[in-house]
Amino acid sequence: MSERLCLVVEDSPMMRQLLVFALARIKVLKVVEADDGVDALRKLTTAKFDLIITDINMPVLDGLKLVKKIRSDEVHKDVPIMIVTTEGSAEDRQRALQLGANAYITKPIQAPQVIAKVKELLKLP
Amino acid sequence: MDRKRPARGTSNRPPRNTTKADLVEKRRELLETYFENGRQIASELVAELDAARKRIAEVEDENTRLRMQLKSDTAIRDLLTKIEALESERRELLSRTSEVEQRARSEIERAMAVESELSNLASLYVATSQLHASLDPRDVVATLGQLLLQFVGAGAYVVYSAEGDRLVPVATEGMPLESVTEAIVGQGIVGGAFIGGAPFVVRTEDRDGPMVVVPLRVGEQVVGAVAVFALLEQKTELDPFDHELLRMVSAQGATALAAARLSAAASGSIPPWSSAER
Repeated sequence: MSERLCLVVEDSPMMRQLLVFALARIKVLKVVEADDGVDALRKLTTAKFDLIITDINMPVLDGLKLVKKIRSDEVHKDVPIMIVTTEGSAEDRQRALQLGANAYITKPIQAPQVIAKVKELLKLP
Repeated sequence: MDRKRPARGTSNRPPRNTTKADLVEKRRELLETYFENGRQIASELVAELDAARKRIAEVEDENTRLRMQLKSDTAIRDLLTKIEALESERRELLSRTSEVEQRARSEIERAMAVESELSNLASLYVATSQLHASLDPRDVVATLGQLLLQFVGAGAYVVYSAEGDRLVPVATEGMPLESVTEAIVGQGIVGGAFIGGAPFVVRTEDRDGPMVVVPLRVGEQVVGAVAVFALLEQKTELDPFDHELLRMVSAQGATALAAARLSAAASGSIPPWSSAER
């Protein structure tokens, strides 16, 4: 199976490390990390990603603005986006999905839940 | 040799006045009678023979039929035996299938439990490594806050640092720092958490007070405390793994904070926590 490239956008190093740990269970996934939305946009110009996982509350450029920018980007407009956030209200979820996110997971996360959702988005067995 | 004389009137010798023609006639009648009887006997014998042949044919037919029935019965018996064997095999296969299914379910449950345990261990590893990743007290406090927010799901919390017997609030989430007052070690809910030596204290009776207090202590030295006032909207209660995390915060958080404070104090780069830093 071909390698899939995933961008993890998270300002908390602890959360980022935990996500990378969880995603390491999916052998075909290669993970690139970004500290915030701006860093993510920079990294999106370096490669074609198959999946983007992003937090919402981040300095400089938050996750929702990032989703909006990605959806207007020619290269990545169709890439699945998964939100992983502490924001658990129905309105936040609705807003993120309306902006173009494909999945919405609230923190604290459980690695099996993240893995299952990533596999679903990437259509992996 | 004594020869019996035939009885009078019954002798075969013709009467003295019988003519030759009579005799011939008599002989002819006698022969006819003789042959008639012979024909009759032969006819009866033929009829009996026919009947016997017919009976033999019937018996042969009966025999064939019985033989076929016997063969058929044997075949049925064989088939019944085979059916019974197949039924037994089917029952065994069903039982084995059920056994395999049960084993598969058990394996899946076990795999899920292992995955969950692995996830928990990863969280503990990441949290511990991040707590000890910096010797800057501010970073350690920030990491403690991140741990409470992102790993435990605390929506409102306060991190206290010990200054003598005072517990000074140095970081908050979900509530303004200015609104949080200092606590005294040994007094009140937060300060009283050090009494008894439990890794953390859960209180539910006071709705305005913290729901969990985690004393940060290295040996007998009080380093600080963490108080959780509310959980995130999506988090309804603390589960057993949250308790594990809080135990880890109590032990590793205290050590990390003490080490960072000592390092900062030694280097003089960052002064120990004080109310002025708030």
